[in-house]
Amino acid sequence: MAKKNRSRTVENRGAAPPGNLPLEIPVHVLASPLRAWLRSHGYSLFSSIGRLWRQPFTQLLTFGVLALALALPTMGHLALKNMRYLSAAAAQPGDVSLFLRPEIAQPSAAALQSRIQTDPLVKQVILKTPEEALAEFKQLTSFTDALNALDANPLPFVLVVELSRESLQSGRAMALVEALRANPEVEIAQFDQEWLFRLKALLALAERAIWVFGGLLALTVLLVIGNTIRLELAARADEIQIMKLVGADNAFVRRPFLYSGFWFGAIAALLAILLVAGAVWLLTPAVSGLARSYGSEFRLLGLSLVESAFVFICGTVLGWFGALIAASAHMSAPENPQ
Amino acid sequence: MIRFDAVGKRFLSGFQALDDVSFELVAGEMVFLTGHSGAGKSTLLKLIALMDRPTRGNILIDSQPVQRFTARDVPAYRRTLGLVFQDHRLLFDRSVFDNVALPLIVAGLPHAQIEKQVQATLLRVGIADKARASPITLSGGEQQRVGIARAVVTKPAILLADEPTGNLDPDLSEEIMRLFLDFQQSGTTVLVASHDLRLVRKLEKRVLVLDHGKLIDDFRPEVHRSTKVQHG
Repeated sequence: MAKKNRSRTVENRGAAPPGNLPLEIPVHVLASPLRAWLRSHGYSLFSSIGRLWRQPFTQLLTFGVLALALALPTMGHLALKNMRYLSAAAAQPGDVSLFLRPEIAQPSAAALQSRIQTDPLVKQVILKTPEEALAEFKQLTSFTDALNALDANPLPFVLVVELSRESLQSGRAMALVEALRANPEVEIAQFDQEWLFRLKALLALAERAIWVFGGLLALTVLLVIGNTIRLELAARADEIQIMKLVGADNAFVRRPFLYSGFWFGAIAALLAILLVAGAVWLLTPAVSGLARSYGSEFRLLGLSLVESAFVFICGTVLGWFGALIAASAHMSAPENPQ
Repeated sequence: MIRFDAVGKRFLSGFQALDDVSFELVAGEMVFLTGHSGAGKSTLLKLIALMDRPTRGNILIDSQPVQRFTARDVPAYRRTLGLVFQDHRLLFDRSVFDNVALPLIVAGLPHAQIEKQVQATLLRVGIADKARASPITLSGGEQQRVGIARAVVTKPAILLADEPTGNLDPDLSEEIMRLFLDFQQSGTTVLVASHDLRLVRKLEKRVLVLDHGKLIDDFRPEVHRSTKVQHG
């Protein structure tokens, strides 16, 4: 039945390299290179899913470790994102409150107001009379009774200086605050944003820390997946040898393992995204309650679609790459050690 | 088809597995390779399959020197061979069908064609009814038939077998050997390493005899028959 086959030589040697092979690959095992390649991918895809599907619980610990390693830096990022959001919200009014000396009366206060107003770094200056300040104070606090008990208004005139956006961004705000503080009429200059500048520096530091931390955990993911694939390669060494004996090239042998790595990364990333979403869901009521007590409508920010996609892509790329490292190391070992 | 020119193989340990071996097999021939264990039979087959490389001499397959093949050429070259092993080398985590289909999957054939070719091959080696069985549930003889089916499913030009009947009783061994004869009659060049001299003699094919890595006899029954000389 095979007698005539060798005479039917074909120019195209299918998936085989176009070397100078002595024997024609029999016609019936020739497939067009692209189709053979696609079929091989299909085979690897399904065989790797099948393998995972048949033993999902043996890999449960691995998935847990991977998901945590991906979830931790993601949570760090999320914490940072929320702090940034809060600090940005708090930074909106770049106000300096100038509490004038008690002896300063309306005309001097108004004069100072118009003088400060001329500074190009100042957006506007609002003068608050002691009466207005007292009314505001009563509204905001529960000291109403105590305040009513006072026979005189202890509050001074207050100038609320709103700094321009440029001054806040250019970092000249602190110098301006010092200049305002130097005015003889001013008893106390209170710049609410001073702590914000420090917070921003801290957040920048925290961001770097999270990148370093995330990098280390990414390395962990790479090593865990690499090691898992290495164990699988060792467990299936016989199968790999048989594949090679029936003419599989390294790419074919390696492919199912690369897909395994891909699945490990992908599933772990999905688990990590679920973990983070779960944590956000658990924390949201508490955070909202705390924010409400400060009169804020703030709600905890979760992962956006783009951020989730980033976590997913990181997971899959790390999984694939870890598998590639393990498989390449295995393939370069001598084939026939005996 | 297969030609050895003064081939030698010395292992790193210093052991000389093959020493100055020269012979030629023409296309469509069936030849037995015998000798005591350790005589170099397996090494010789491994050199043909490029599982190992000779340290001296030339091996030509269809007039092409195999030492020219790089590691990248080896997979495609192996697809032109069929290999049968004493221990069958089956994969026990999948069915008989999937074992036999492996070389075709590697070649990237469409599913329908794989199905057809595997069924035809299983029928030919006499285990068509075992396609869905797990190899572990089969007898030794049946397992070897699976191994042979896997080797011939691609209809290779050359079939190499290393002690294919090593673990089988005499009746089963003869059945397996007759299977190889059948493939030779279809035009395949067959080289079978075996130390079962009784069976080898009975089949009256050409026999190469190795002894401590040297080729000490090249016995052709048809020549002996015509000159009325009995061998051994």
